[in-house]
Amino acid sequence: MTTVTAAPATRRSTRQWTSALSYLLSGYVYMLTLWFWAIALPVVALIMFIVGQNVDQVTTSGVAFTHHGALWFPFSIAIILSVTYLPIHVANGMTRSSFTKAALAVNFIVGLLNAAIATAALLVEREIYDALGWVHGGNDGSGIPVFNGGVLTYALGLAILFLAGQVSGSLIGISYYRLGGWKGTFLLPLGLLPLAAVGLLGLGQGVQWNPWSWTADIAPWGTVAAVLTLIAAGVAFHVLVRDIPIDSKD
Amino acid sequence: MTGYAVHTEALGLSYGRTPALTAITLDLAPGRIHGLLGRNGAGKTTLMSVLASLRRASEGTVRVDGQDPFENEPVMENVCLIRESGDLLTDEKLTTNLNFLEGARPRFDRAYAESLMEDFRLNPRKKPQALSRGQSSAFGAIVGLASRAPLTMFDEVHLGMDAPSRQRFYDELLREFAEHPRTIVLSSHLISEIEHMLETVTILHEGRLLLSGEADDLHSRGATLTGPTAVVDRHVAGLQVVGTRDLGPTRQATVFGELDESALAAATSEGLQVGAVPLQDLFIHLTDTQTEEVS
Repeated sequence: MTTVTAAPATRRSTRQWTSALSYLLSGYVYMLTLWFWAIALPVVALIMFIVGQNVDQVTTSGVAFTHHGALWFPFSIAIILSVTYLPIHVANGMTRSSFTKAALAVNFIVGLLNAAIATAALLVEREIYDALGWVHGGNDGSGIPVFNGGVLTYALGLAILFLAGQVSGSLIGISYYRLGGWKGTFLLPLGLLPLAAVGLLGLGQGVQWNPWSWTADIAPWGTVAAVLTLIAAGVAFHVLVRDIPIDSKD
Repeated sequence: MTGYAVHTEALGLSYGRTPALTAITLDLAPGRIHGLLGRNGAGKTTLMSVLASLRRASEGTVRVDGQDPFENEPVMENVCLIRESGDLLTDEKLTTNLNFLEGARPRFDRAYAESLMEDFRLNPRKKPQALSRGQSSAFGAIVGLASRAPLTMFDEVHLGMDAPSRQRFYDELLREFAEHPRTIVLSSHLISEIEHMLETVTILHEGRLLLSGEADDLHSRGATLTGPTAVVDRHVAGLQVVGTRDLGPTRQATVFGELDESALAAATSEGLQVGAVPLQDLFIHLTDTQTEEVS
């Protein structure tokens, strides 16, 4: 004789998107983000040590070079997330809209996290440069200090730039998954639009490179246009995901 | 928990201009084991994909537990389709996959999943991409059983398993079904292996519903006569024979169609064994007939 046991609750205690966000952050993004910085920062320190031994005075920030990695590495992860995680997410009973929310939240959190780590590293580096008598200049060769426009402005600018990079990655990934190789490639410029908008419209025309300038020549319209482009990109991502067919074979 | 009912009305779905499902009107009662049969490309996977909200129907309506399942959070998380492709985090360990499934499926029983992994000798530290095809199939079966979803569908999930593993899966499925009744849909080409478990049978053919009904009713749509070849041939003369098997002087013939009691009694009196029509023979006959009619 078999015993019929009571069925557990039919609903989870958390919403699907928070459950997905928790998984993506803890098992995927945190690890990759921390790995990135665990590799990048010692490499930068080693290179700057070698450079410092061979020149009279260092005039360029080494950490500022990591911005490229902190932009393009999460960009590529965002593409992978759209292409490989989405089908697993939906096939295991979670909605597309929960994926959209979780993916965009991951973009936001990781963008903020990378900007915070990069800024903190720059601040530490500035102290070291000051102690050594070096100039903590931007890597555009202008010789003007990295934080010429203010630390907070710089950090916010980095966060928006990194967020834009990941939103572009998400859009490109979902375009390829939904529309296939040819159409996905054709739409690449549109997928890169959020990054281009922040990079071109939001940048100041001053002498020092800055990820964002609230006093750019076309401010405030450049800022408004860049932010609106980011919002539009989020909406486009939602539209592409909301009824996307998950691959199957028969 | 008695499982979810499934209802479709004039359901249609196309891949581009190619129709995959056409006018499927179907009812699957809750708390039963349903067989979904069809040849390759018949539309079985597509139909289950629609029920699991992997795809949206192009036409018609779909109701799971009385609701449209597409992007319906409470329904979707309680509908589990196990596909041969796995749908797992391939570069994560099996134990991490269990963590993920615990977050995705509200009724997922991790302890039960881990005990089944021991039974099937699956190392929780291995990654799905490192498993053999049989082990992958076994893990898929475990996920389906342990998810305890009110609508659980297995799409050829046991195809990669060897015979003892398949038997273990069938036994476990029946035991689990008795303890935790739910609606189960089994799709398989190994019809003879699963037919004893099926309460209803639905056959798709070229994207259309060929038939759907009680398994017992289908079995009574014909009979098998077994005995000496000459005697069997005499009794099946004039009947629609859909399959024969010979073993030395003994022949088993499967006939399709209503057989009257007197004919069966006459066969029995001459020493022939009369049995139910095997589902596989019926399936082959019906799908062959349809193909010929279409051509």
